[in-house]
Order: sequence, then C-alpha cells, then structure tokens
Amino acid sequence: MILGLRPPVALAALLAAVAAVIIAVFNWKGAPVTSETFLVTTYIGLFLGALWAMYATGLVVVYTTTGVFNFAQGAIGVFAAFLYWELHVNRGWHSILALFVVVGMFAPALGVMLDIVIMRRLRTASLVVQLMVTVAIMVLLLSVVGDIWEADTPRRVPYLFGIENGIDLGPSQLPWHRLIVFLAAIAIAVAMRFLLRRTRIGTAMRAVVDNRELAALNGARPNVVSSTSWALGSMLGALGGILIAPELGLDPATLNNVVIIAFAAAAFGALRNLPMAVVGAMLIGLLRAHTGAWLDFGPDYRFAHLSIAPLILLFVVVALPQARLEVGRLAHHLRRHERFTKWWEGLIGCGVIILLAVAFSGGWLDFGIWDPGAWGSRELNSANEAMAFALIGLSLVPLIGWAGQINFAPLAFAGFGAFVYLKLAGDTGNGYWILLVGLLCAPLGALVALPAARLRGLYLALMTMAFAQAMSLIFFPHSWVLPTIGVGRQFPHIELLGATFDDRRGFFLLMVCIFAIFVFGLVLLRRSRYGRRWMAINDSQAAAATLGIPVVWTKVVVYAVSAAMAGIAGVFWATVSGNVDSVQGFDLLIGFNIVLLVAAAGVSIPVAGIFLIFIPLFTGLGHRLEDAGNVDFLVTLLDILTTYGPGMLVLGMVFNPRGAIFEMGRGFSPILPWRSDARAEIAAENAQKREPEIGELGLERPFTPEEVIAIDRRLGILDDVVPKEGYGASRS
Amino acid sequence: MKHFRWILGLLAALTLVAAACGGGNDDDDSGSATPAAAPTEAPDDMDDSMDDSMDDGMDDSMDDSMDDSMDDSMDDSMDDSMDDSMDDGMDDSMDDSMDDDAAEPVATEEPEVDPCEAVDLESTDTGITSDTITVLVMADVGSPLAPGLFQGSIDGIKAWADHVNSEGGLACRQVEVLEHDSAINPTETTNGFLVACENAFALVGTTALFALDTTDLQTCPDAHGNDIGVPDFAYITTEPPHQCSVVTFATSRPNSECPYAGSGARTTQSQVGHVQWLQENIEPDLNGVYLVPSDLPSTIATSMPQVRSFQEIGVVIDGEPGISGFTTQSEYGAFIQIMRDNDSNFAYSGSDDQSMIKWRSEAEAQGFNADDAIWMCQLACYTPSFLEAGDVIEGTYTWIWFLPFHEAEHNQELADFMEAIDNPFPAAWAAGSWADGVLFEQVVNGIVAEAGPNGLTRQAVLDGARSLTSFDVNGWWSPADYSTTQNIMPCFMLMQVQNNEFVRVHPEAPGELDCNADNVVELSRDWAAEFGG
Amino acid sequence: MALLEAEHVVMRFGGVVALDDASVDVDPGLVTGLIGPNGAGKTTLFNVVTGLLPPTSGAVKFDGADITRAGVAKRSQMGIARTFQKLEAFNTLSAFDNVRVAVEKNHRTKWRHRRVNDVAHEMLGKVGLDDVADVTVGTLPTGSARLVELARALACRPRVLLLDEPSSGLNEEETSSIGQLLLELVADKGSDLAVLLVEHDMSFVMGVCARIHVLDFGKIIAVGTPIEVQADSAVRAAYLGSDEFRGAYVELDE
Repeated sequence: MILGLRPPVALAALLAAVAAVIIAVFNWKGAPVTSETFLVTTYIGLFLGALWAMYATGLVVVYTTTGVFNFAQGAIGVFAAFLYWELHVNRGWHSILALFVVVGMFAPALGVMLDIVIMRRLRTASLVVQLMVTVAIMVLLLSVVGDIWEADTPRRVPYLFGIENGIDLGPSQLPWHRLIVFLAAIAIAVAMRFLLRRTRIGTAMRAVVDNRELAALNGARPNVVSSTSWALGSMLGALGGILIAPELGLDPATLNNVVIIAFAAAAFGALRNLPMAVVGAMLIGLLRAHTGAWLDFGPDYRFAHLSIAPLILLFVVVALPQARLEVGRLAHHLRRHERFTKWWEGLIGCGVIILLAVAFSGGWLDFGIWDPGAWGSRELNSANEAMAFALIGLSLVPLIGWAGQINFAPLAFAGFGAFVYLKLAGDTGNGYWILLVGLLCAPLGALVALPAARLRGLYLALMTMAFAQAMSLIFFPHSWVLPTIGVGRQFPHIELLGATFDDRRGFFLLMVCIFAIFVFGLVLLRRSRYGRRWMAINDSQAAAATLGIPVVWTKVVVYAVSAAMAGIAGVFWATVSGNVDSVQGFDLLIGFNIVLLVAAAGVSIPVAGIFLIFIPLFTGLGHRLEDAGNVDFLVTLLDILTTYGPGMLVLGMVFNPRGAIFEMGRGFSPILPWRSDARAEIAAENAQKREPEIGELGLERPFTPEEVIAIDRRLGILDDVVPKEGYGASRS
Repeated sequence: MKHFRWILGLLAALTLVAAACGGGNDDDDSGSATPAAAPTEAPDDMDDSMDDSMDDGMDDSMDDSMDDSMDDSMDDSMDDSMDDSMDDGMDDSMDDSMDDDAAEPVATEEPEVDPCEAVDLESTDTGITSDTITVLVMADVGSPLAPGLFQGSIDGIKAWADHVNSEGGLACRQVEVLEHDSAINPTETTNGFLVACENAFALVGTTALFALDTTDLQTCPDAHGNDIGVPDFAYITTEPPHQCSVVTFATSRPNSECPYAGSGARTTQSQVGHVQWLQENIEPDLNGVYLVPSDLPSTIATSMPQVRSFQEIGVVIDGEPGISGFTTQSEYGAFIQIMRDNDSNFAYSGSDDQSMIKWRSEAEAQGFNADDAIWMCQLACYTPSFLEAGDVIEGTYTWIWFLPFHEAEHNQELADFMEAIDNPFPAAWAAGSWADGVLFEQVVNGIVAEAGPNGLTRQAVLDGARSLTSFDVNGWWSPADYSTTQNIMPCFMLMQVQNNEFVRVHPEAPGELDCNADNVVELSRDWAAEFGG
Repeated sequence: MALLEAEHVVMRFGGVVALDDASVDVDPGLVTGLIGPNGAGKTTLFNVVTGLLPPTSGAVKFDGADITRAGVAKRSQMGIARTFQKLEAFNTLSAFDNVRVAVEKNHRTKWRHRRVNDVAHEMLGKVGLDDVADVTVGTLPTGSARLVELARALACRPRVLLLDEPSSGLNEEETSSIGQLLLELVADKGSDLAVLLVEHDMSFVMGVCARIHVLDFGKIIAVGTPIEVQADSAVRAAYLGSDEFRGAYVELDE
C-alpha cells in the first residue's frame, strides 16, 4: 500500500501525474503566474466542480439505492432548466417560486413517475436493458424539450442569485452566487452521505439494493425506498440543470453533454462512494479551469481541456480493481425456446436481402394503388447513408446481442476505420485495403475493452462512452487524421474488382453485398464455438470461468470483432459523403441512437441483423412516398416515429426484453415451410395459455413475498448471506 | 396478445425507417417539398407594395395619382375574388394599372412595353413553366436537438416570393417556392441539391452549413442535357466545396481564394474598417483579446484571417483563445485574466451573441471595469436576443455590411423587406436570403430585358450572375463583385448598444455605409495552422 | 496425500465472518461431503476454492501447489470443476450446447466437430439427458438444468468435482441415479477423480460420502466418516431443531 492506494492504482496515478506534468510543460502558454490569476482560476474550477458534483451526487444516490445507473440524469436537468426558463423568464414568475415548482414539485414527481412506470420493472432486467432504457429516457426527454422549446431563438437563464456582487478579492471578486452554489453542493453531498449512512431510511435504502427480499423481511418497503431515491436523484439533476444553464446557455445537446463529466466524477467514487465522487468533480473542475488558464494546446488539440472528464473516466476504469464474478443473479427462466439459424437459412436470408435491395431500388415494386418506381439520386443518396448506418449497426449484433456487452462508440470505431482507410488507400480509392482496415481496427476495439472487461458491464459502457468522447475531442479534430476539407473528396470513390463505384446505385448494391456477407458471416459465427462461447458469457460469466473460459479475454475478442466490422462499415460511411467533418458525424447522440435502435430491434437472434436492411430500404421508399404527394399525415407520422420511435421501442424492452424483431420473427417464422417447430411451439403455447387457477394448486391465495422467501430458505435455495461487494469496500 | 405482437413488429419496421435517416437525424420531413402557399396578401398590403415598386422610377406626384387609380381598380376586383382567385385578381389589376402608365418613362430595368403581353410563355428550362418559376430554398432547419435553426432563411425567401408575385411576378411568371431542410447534415444537403436539380430552376437563399460535396450541384444537367449545374444563390458558404462552387453566388461574399485543396496557404480578404475607425476615433493603441470560435475548422478559418489582419493594421493581440459551445461562462474568466494581465483595452468576439453575453457577464462577475475596454462583435451579435441580455452588454460595438433594420425609411429595398417579413427585428439570415432573392431577380430581369421572358435558362442565369460586377441589393447592402469568386464586401457600418438599442455610430448619416478602399486587408496563410488554441 | 486442500481459510465481508479458519481436504477416489446448516459458509467455501472469492486469509492448495492467487479459469484448467447452488446454466443455449462449450474448451479436439459432439453426447448420456439435448436450458425444469450443469462440469475433464446441492429439484429416483453416477466416477481408477459434495439430503450424503466435513458458522466442527459425524455431539447441537438432519426433506415441484 502506498499512501493508502493499492500498488497498481498508485502506479497509474503516478503515471498520470507525470503525463500531466509533461503535457503542461510542453503546452505552457507563458501567461504570467500571479496569485490573483491562480486564485480566480481555482475558485472557477471549484465552482464548476460543484455544479458537476450536484449531478454526480444524484447519480450516486440513485445507483447506490436502486442499482440503476441513470444515463438520463443530464436530460432531467435539461428539462428542468427549460421548464425553469419557461416559468421564470417567459412567464415572469419569481425565481424562488419557479425554482420551488421545478425542483420541489416537478422533479420529484418526474422521478416517482419514472420509478413507478419503468424503473421498478428493471430490477431484474439485464444490464443491456437497464442501460438502454435510461438512454432511451434521455433521448425522449431531449426530443420533448426540442419539440416544446424550438431552437429558433437562443435562450438564457439568469443566475439564481445574480453575479454582479460578491466578495472583493483585490482587483477581482468572488460572486455570491458561486460561493452559495459551491457551499450548497457540498452541503447536499454531506446531507446525502448522512442520509445514506446514518439514518434508518438510508440503511434501508442501501439494504434494498443488496438484497431486496431480506430488506423487505426487515421491514423496509422497497417500493417506497426506490421512489424516494428516484425523487431525490431527479431533484438533484433538476437543480444541477438550473444552476448550470446560465453557464452554458439553454441548448439541449450542450447541456446534456455535461452529464458525461458527472459520469466521470461518479466513476471516480466507484459509483457508490459519495465523498470521492465530489472530490472527482472538484478535480475535474480544477483541472479544466487551470488548463484553460495556463496551457495552450495548439490547433490540433484545441479541445484537449474539454476532454479531461473522459480521460479521467478512462483512468478510473484502468485503476479500479478487478470485479468479482457475480453468482446467483441469474434470471432463471426463459419463456421460450431459442433456435439457431441454419447456415442455408442464412444463405437464403442473404439472397433475400440482395433481392429486396435490387427490387426496392430498381422500382420493381408496385403496390397497386401506388407504384413507387425506381429510385432517383436523392433516394439512393439517403439510402446509401442509411445503408452505412445499417452496416455500423450490424457490428453491434455480436457485441450487444450475443455477448451482452455495451458499446456506445460504434461511430468512433467507424471513424477510426475511415481514418485507417484514408491513410492506407490515400486518394486511390483502392477497395482491397478495406480488408486490412478490419484487421487494424480490431486491436483498437481490444484496447478499449481490455481495461474495462475486467469490470462489471456498466464500466464497459461508460468506458466506451468516454472513448467515443475522447476520440471526437482529441483524435478526429487533428488535422493529420482528417485533413481540412478542400474542394475535392477526401474519400474517393471505391475501386473494387476492376470497377469504380462512382454511381450511387452501384455503390448501394456494393454495400448491400457487403451487408449480406456480414450477415452470413454472423450466422456462421453464431453457430461456431466462438458464438456459443460469447452467448455463454452473456448468460453466466462465473459459470463460463469455471469451465476454463478466460472471460476477460473472450470479451476483448468480441470487441475486436465488433470494432473490425464497424471499421469496415466506417469506410463506406465516409465514402458515402465523400468528406467527413471532424465534428459532424461523431456526435455521441447519433451513436446513442444507433445503439438504441439495435438494442430495441432485439439483436440476440442473428436473423434480426437482416432486419437492419429495412433501414435503407424504407428510407428510399419514404422519399418516394413524400414525392407521391398528399401524404402529409404519413410524413408527420414518420416524423413523430423518427423522433420518438427508437426511445419508445426501447421503453418497450421493459416489458419485452427480447426486442421487437424477436416478436416479429415469431409471428413470421411459422409461415416458412420448413419451420414446423415454430408452428408446433405456437400451438403448444396456445394450449398452455390458460394459467392455472390458484384453487387448482390447492392454495387459497398466492404466496406473499415473505412466504416465498421462507419457502426458499426451507428449501435451502437462498444464497448464503453474502453482502454484495462494492468497489469502495474492496478498496479499503 | 397476438395483435399486439404484430403492431409491435410494424412499429419496429417503421422505426427502422425513421431511424434510417442517419440514426435519428430527423430528416424525414426535410425532403417534404411542399410548394409555398400561393400569395395571399391582404389588399392594404398590396397598396403598400405597389407604392414601393413604383418608387424606383417615379416621382411622388405620380405615386399619388397611382394610388387613386389603383385603389379604384383594386377595390373592384379584390372584393369579388379575394378568397378564391387572388392570383388572377391581382394579375388583372396589376396589368390594368401598368397599362395606364405604359406611356410614361419608368425605371431602367422595367421594359417600356409589358414584355409579357407580346410573347407566348414557354417552359424554357427545368423549374420553369409558362406561368411559374420554381425556386428551392434550402436551410438547416430541423435537427432533433435544434429545430428551427435557420427558419429565418425560409421565411425570408417566402416573403420575397410573395413580394415579387404581388408586384407582377418574375419574367412574367409567378414565383413558387419549394422548401428543403438540410438538417445540419451533409447527406440532406446533397439531397437538397438533387431535389433542386430535378424540380427547381435555381436554389435561392441557401443557408446550409454542411455543403461538403457540391458535385451534384455543379454537374446537374439542365433541360437541354448540358451538365452545367443549378444556379445557387446562397446566403452563407462555410465549406470550401461550397465556397468554390462555380454555380454558387453567395451574398455574404466568400472572402477566400478558390480553388482550395484543403490544406496549405489560402489568400483571404478581411474587413478591418471598423477597427481602423476605432483606432482613429477612440483609441489609437489597441491591444486585446480575440475569441476564436474553434468548434469547426471552417469557423477557425473564418476567424484567423481577421485576427491576423487586425495585427496587420497595428492591433496588438494579447490572446486568441478558442471557445466552443461547451465553454462555460465561468471559463471566460480566464479571458478576463488575460485582459487584466496585459492591460487590454480591446475585446473582440469572432463568435456569436451568446458568447459575447457570457464574456461581458463574466467580466462583470469578476469585477472587471467594462469601461476599461472596447467590446466588439460582428453581425452575429446583431440580434434581438443580444439586446435581451440587458445592461450587461451596454456599449458593445457591432459592425454589419448592410443598413440596419431600423433605417427602413432610407432605403426602399429594406423597407420592402421589413414590410414583407413583418418582424421589427428579423433574423440576419432572413435578410441574407432576401438579398439572394433580389440578386436572382436582378439577374432574371437582366435576361428578360435582353432576351425576353423566354430567354430564361439556367445557362443564361449563370452567365448573367457571372458578369455581375456590382450588386448592392438596391442600395441596402455593401456592393460586391460577383464576377470573381473571391470578393469581400468593402463597406461596413458601425453600431453601438446604447440604452439597450443598436445606435448608429459610423458613418453618422443614416442610410450610409463606409466604403473606404483601405477597409480590406488581404493575407495569405495556412489558417487552420495559425490558430493557437 | 489430499488432492485439494483448503487451509485455515478465513473469509470476511465487512463485519460478517463467513469462514473462520476452515480447513477441508479432498482425496482422490472418494466422494467427500460438506454439510452444515444454512448460512454455515458452504457455498462461500466453494467460491473460495474455485477462485470466485479471494479469501481474507488462508490458502488453497491443489495437487500440492498453492493456487490461492490463481484465477477462476486457470483453476478450471488445472482440473477443478463445479456446479452451482443457484443455477448458472447457460440459459439461452441448448443442453447440448451447454456441454459443448465445456468440451470445446477442455478437450484437444479443435476443429473436429464430430469428436466434440461425441463427447458432449456422452456427457449428456451420463446424466441421462439425451432426450432433451436440443432443448434450450432456460425452459427446462430446475432439476434437469442442474443435471446440465453436472454434465457440463464433467465435460471439463475434472480432477476435482465440486457439487453444490446436485439433488435439489430432483426426485428420489433421479437422486439415487446421481449418487450411483458419482460412485462410478470416483471408482474409475483411470480418472482418479475427487468429489466434494454439498448436500442437504442427508440420506444421499450418508449414502455416497466416504468422509464428511461439517461446517457451522464458518468453522469446521467435525470431520469423519458418516457414522462418526452422526455421532458427534457438536454436530447434533448445530443441527438441533433442523429438519435436514432428521432427513425430512421437503420437496416442492416447480
């Protein structure tokens, strides 16, 4: 132990400190170091830290007490800030009244509603579903905000206490507002710590997440507890949003992005340790303020100071001790039989994909009342972009669908693939380099997964998010990575098999073929020992490990495969538009949307990947439909579905975790002539549909939870009393 | 249960469609090329706009008599056919009143004899029929998180089209407006070019930030099978492919050399007249901080030439920090510190109004005496939301290259615009797109004067625009030369926020712009590499 | 010499002591029993031995080598296989594929599909699950899923087999056939297998185990043959009032 840290952590901290010093020395701006500047910079850093600490406190409280990490925390803040603006600025309410209504009434109501409608049902859900649902809530909240308060005019929220007056610090001053916010953030964190550690309700709150049944036996009411913590978390998010809005202006995306900093802070406290989370927030605040004041990173690293939070997150993930494999947390029963797609079914599927693509784009379809006709340039242009996204989405199938791992960085991998291709092929457009692109992207995927694969899935999700953020702030803006856009194409048309794919239709069909090859590859992969192993890991990491399967390594391999696929997809994605802007396209929200969509589609069955083909197909068809005229209602419907569809679908996962495609497939498969098994299953299900009456079981009423536990104990199938380990605990 | 399953499946399919558009880029409605509603101006509006058009070439007494005769003829036709056949009613009354005055000499551009009477109007090119000219306005309006961004451009073009139609149309035809939302997305922007290529005669009022590929714009075939491109009368051009497009004529003139390969030095012109005026009239020794919006390479490439040009004329730059949308107000404290450390007396923001508000608010929070420095901003600060910030922005200078909106009585075109847009403080892009409309109008009128209303082809419009050596939006804007690709507007006017209003500072006389020849500095650097960060 | 030894293992979770200086040794060729009341620390000991939990102190030795710090997968490769009290079967895979995952990892049969399938079928046959080989495990009854876990563990070619309540969820007939299988396995001189069995079904334990360790509140309170253990007063005290020891086994079919 060195300074109370485990050796690897101490080493990592030392390395980070050395790196920080080197970076500081090489980028020193040369501004005069005065005590005044130092003081001002420090209090600015602490103030920013306090704002982020407020978000982070909410995250930690909700996570400690419900086990759900709330990706929507920032979006709740955004919504609250806009509502506060509406009441205070637009309607002229007094700031205190508006603050009370938003933070004291609206936010807890929202929190309780989220808990009752959604979060409670997530208790036993898989991590993928838990994460996706909170991400979906985030996207939905932001969409609602965008729809209610249109961005045609900038809005400003005034500082709560004004910033004109403050404590005199020589030539400078410390505004009261900032002092109050700082003290309030600290006070809130202390109060929450006290609540959780020293009060009865707090003990109950923490106990519930460890063992709901046991806590219930001891008199805690789990539902009240989870509603309370969601209300608290939501209030803290709302308060954070209202306080940070004057700093950034009311822009949903910008405000929402702040939450990544809070994620890093929460991770600094291992998601459960409140004081450390506050320290993390302050550290990020101080680092950011001081790098802004003293360092100068040059044009290529111009966003370096914004990337401190993701870098801290990466550092924390590397430094955290390896997580133990959890046992006894398995949801026991599947309702239905899983079936593997046969290789020849995969082949038929690929044929169907290509046939559909040719038919849609070639105008072979005729719906009788409406003949869409062949696609023009515009349809193909949109379809090409959508096709590239479908390819990127396909890369998530083995990862999310099979291995049950999350990756919020598919676009970062795709962008990296595009970059590799740019450097390999230069301006020749030689398509054969694409194979090498896949090989070179795989190590990157492995590298990203390696530190986080040792940890629980949530850290992998956070890690990929931090990675995506860091790539878009540090890597892609570099002028060597993506040269500044000139008049020509950065990415020339691809040449493959002696042909130049410079017309949109040819390129579309080329991508369709790549898609089909990917799908067929996935079908084979899923039937292989690797596919089996990945799914085994998804079902039970502990069991897989006791069979001798190296769990961490296996996860890393899945990431590598996924990254390779995403990288190849990225080449096509970049070639569609010809020029890729460093900022446009690597947007985290677009990445979220792709992940949401893939998760919502229910990618666990490989055939589900095939359905991604409908993204480009319906895109082209949609354009045709618009041109057909008189379909305003359809266009509006489509608009609503675009904005709210993915989010709503993911929310549907709460009730049907297998995803929509699964249900669709079940409806469809009995039609296939060779699927007698599917027909038999449906028939059996219908026969079984009637649940036995309570009376038929010889009982007068259903078992109460207490009785279930008592029976379990009697049967000896209740686990030994083992408190769930937290990283904070294992560190001490 | 079974039904639910199918509904879910359908919803999934539809969502996939929806999400297709770039993973939620919300562009499904973007392509909705719905023609703008036919002009439905109220009768009293008609009177006014008639007044305006007549002002050009007629003296006041004419106007009065006009009004009388107009009112008579209008009342008759209007009352009857207001609702159902506005267009026809208007045309008739217009034609009648015009015929009355046919003997009188009128403006140079107005043909002496109504040319529309003499010819049989034909469909001369894509987007032109015997009675309509279809133009397409493309702007970044929708994105899931920023809906309504450049809506002003679309409003501006619709207002312009209504105005033109109310005055008898263009080339004897009515102008119809198609809308396209480029959705801050390169693919949708390209789609806009493709839609325009097939369905519109020209793009007018383009305000799209991500025109990264203009191949389709420049090689679009016309009705005669020649791949000459679609004329694109844009307001802003941010990316080199758009700036250097040979069919694009931007009313905010691109200030940089074309063609440009994307890296290396680029010759760029910058307006420095406003700073020179400060040096001459307020503070000869300017030293201070310039905020560079550093989100995109293109925003850096726009700001850095200005910074270097200021240095060229003797301004000492104490710091050129980059800012992004993610920069919090308190982080502006660092810029205040730079100013304190260097005793700066000059604070210039190359970014937008919100950034300037943050800067000045933070200066106040830090106890920095606002009078110690000259705060200056550009067109982006000329917004109502800037004024909403209240006292904190008092004294900020802003310069623009056209007559401000409150000087409508000094320029007829501005008056027309203000009337048509019906907003006391419209968005700058509404004005910019209107200027595009006027530019298009002038080119078309030139063609009609020379070759008649059937001489209107894309080729003719391109030729006409390329030979336009001076265009000033009928005196409202700084004149500029459209015959070369690189030509910044030489004129400016300076305003200062005084008592929460934009007040003209220079030139003092309303309705005037400063067009001094040494307002423009030309430099050649690799601008992306110039930025310090 | 014992094949597997847990020496003075202490496992603390915060203030709770789950294992307090517990030592267990398992010999090859025998079925060794580990019994004790609920919460005595039996599963915790399994977790320590297989590497899922790092002990607070103490050591785990396998074949004479100290493996206290070895990872879970490493121990498995050395020959330690287990089943779980709370099911950890691969629910989305079929019974056959559950076993196949283990065969593929632990038999040198790379790329030889037929051989893998043969071994997997053989293992399923041993536990009597031939007829449900293609059924997804998540849809099987708990008892059958337990047998899948057993077949999966056998497919790891174990030298030590740790079974955590294999009979729970099985009927009497199945239970006795499992007992028979265990005895056959350890009797096979070629494999020299050691079995450590945690069980609540006392008649089952007494029937198959050659030696029994009794764990109570984390401490080993008795070691010996079934007869010795049953006669031990400390054991009787620990189990006082417990249904289990009287052999009254309650079974609810799921």
